[in-house]
Amino acid sequence: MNIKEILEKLSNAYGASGYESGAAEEVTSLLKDKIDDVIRDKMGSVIGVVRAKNPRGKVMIATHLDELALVVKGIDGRFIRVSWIGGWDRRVLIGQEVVVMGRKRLMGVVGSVPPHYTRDKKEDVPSWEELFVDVGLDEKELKKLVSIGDPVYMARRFTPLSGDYASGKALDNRASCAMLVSLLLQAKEEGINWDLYGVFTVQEEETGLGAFTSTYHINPDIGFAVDVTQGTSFGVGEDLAFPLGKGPVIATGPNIHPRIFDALKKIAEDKEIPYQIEPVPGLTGTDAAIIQIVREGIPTGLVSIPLRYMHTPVETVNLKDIDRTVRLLLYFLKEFEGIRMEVESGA
Amino acid sequence: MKDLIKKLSEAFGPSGNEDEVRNIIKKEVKPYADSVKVDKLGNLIVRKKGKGKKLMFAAHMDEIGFIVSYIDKKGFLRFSNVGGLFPINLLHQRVMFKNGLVGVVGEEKRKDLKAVSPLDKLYIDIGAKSKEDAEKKVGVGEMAVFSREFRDLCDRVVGKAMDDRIGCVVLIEALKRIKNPVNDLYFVFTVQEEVGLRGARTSAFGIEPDYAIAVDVTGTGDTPEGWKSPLALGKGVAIKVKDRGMIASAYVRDRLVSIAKKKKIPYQLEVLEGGTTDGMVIEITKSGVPTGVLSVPTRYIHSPSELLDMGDVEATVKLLVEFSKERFN
Amino acid sequence: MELENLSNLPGVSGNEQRVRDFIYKKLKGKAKHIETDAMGNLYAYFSSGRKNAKKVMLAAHMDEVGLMITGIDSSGELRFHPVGGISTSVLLAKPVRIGNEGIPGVIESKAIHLLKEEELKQYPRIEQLRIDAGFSSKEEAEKKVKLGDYAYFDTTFKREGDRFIGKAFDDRVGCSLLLDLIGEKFPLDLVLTFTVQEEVGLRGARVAGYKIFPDAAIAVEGTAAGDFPIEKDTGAFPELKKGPVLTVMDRSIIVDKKLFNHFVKTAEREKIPYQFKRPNIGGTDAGRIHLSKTGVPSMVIAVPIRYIHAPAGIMRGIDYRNTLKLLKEALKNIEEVI
Repeated sequence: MNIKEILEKLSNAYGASGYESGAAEEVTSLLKDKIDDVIRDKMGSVIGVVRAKNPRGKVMIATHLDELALVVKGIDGRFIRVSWIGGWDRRVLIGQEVVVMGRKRLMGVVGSVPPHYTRDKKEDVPSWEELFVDVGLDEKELKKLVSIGDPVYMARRFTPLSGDYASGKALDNRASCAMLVSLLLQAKEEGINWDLYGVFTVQEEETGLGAFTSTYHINPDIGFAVDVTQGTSFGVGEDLAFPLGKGPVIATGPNIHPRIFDALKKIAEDKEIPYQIEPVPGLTGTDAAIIQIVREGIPTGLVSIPLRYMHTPVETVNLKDIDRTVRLLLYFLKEFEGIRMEVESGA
Repeated sequence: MKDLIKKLSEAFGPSGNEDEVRNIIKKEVKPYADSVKVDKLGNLIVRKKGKGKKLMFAAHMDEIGFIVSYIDKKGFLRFSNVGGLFPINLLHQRVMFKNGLVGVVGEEKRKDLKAVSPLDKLYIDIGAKSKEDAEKKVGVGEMAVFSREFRDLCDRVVGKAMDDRIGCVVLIEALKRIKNPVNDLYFVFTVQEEVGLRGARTSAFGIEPDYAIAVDVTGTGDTPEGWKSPLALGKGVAIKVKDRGMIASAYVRDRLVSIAKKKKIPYQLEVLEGGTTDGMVIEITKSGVPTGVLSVPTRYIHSPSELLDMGDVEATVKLLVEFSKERFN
Repeated sequence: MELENLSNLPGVSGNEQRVRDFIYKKLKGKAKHIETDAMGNLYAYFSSGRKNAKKVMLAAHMDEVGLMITGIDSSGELRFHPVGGISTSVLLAKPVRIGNEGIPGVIESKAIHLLKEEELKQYPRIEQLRIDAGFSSKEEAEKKVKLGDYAYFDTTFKREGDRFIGKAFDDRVGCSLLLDLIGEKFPLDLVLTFTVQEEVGLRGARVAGYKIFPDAAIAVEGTAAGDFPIEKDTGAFPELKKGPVLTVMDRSIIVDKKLFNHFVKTAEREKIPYQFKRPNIGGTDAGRIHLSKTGVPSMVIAVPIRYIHAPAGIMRGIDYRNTLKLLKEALKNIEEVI
């Protein structure tokens, strides 16, 4: 299966923070019986294992499985009141088609007041109290089918655009998950020199639960997070983001182990893989920030895929960037020799 | 149960200074416990031995309070907050120190009469005649809490620090009612929840439970023109779906709901957009602990008059007791 | 009921061809005569066979609100402008289709991480929006997209039980109702009129009114339901499931009293639920038609639709069926009030 096909399956799967089962099942079915082990750990993260013949140690690569969604917080007559799962710009929700996972799946929209009714008034962005989801049912029917706690997903099917671009919901972070699925499959086929633990972590968008607990559980020698980073578009220039199609983004800074950054950069140059560099002065807002401080500390790296319109239902990526990330990490798993903990820096 | 609630509500126990509360609880639970320990941070860990899974139930002993930061030239006390002190709940309230000293919160003259004075424009007046007089009675770094007596409103009760003394009462009651536990039960009365869920973190690391439930309070939407929420007094124990700090384990949540349905315990589901509980740090302990949260719906949280329904308390105790009997594979 | 097909067809004001072609195919061989005009309106004549039968026009508009591509940036991103009344509040981060080939694209929206507090509190202006179709340069874009191409919401009709979701229910629901009248026999010379460009100023209707100049006209519409959650007790109507919506007065017309009362009486007699439209909201083709030449007594009947002029509207089948029933019953003896 190529990246586009894997990504389509993962993007269309349902897996909000705290409700990742649908996406977890999709990942599991893509990997089952094709690599050494696929398990779901006690907090819900999926771990795919590919072992080396003579492993130099354990490398963990984490991509978060969860997506942004809404959750039912109350029934208000014929309408559903919702709260957030993940950080939403409420404006992009207005008029958006959704799916409510009640007793059965219900199609609906996030309500919007038509222009005929707002005519002369300034349109305010509704607050979380004012926002509502409409599935077109009566109060009685609604109460039977929908409960507080039911998740509400964006109804959006993966759509390839021109060139190597593709758009869909949850590409943050299914683009990275697709990368990891492909990486695990290729690692098994070609053989690597480190035991690879590919972890599809839960709840990154809300609490980082998966990163904390799976890292503790696996206790790897080296940890990676692969996530998405801001991509350029109209009004978002190269001072704020990275162009799509110019390769994965390798992070550097206090959150990243310098030997890992150096190794990735060298591999990219030697193997002529286009790459970009992201200097992060503080914490990266990813699982990498958590992985670094688990137990006694873990040498950590972060590779990112540029993505446009982050945290909206129309997130867009360039599929070539995903392929290149697979290649970059595959070489790392073959060629990296390891890190020696030395007191003297020799600087 | 109301006598116990009164005793705990009126006790002195701001974050980091929970001794008085801990001693009251120790006395209550000793006859019903297999072991009673106090850990390095002051958490009270009460165990009822059983063969099954390790279950941890947590409620915090600490309440929000005031910490004296400076005694001014005239003997007035400037203070900072211990936990979430909302200025709007403070003006002219009475506060009490551990030794029984009482003071009143006053404010500097307001420029905008319609505004609420922020903390740095408030002070505590202990009626001292001078700086020296004040220094004899209280020192910098000492803490105070709201001074308010518990009142019985028949089906409902009101008092300070129901957050989370009522959670402590629920744990104590459950402890007393459970005989021959199916599982290995740890009732943990945690410290310093209000300043960052600190006691829960270390106690959970030590116990490493298989499952956990935090018991706390949550706000309601049943007052005039109030916050829009379906939660209400008298509708039963609140089973948490999600709050600002965590998404409750779906497994534990579903178990709680099915038990409540089976045993006909009134319950309500809760999505809270502000605030969190000890549950948040318990669930990320080591390799993780599937954690749920049960809350007693309460009005006017973090004010001196937190008001709740005794039926909801009873429902919380019942659900916790029934959960402790569950078999987990 | 052709609603599903009609809803899925692209037909932004000024570009109604494919909708007209579809409707023409359904009318062929069934109408006495079918013709079009300089603007693109479609007329289907059904004769009663009687000598002094009244001429009644039933009008539904074929066009929907949408977007027009007005420029191409050097980056390959597309500038656009709304066609008809669409608020920017429903445009952010929505999937669209462009041109006759339906090229997929998305309306961009900046990541929340890059936005300031003030920006989150207001909707952007149309000039600040772009469509991303995956083009990396102007040259690449120009191979597939031209200035003046129309774009429409990428919404597929869905049905769950008696609930429908789809785009352009305003006014494909009217077009569908008109097609469902074919085969019925009325003592009238009926002209089923499918107008163009209603959304950009009731343009097609003006011309159609002049051309046909009927004895009476009925506009068949999809109208904005008003039953969304509101704070104060100021009335939330019209509502879904409460039946066809009868207009008393909107911004374009005060309806003919005799026609209005006829519809109400018919509904009461046949026990069809009905409701009134909130006065002074919106306008329809009837607004133009009733002012043709020396005047045409006109009426408006509509199916209530939630979220019109947004990517996905919601309606209920029972309202469609009751509107059709009321139309059929009313037409049976409407000549008495003309």
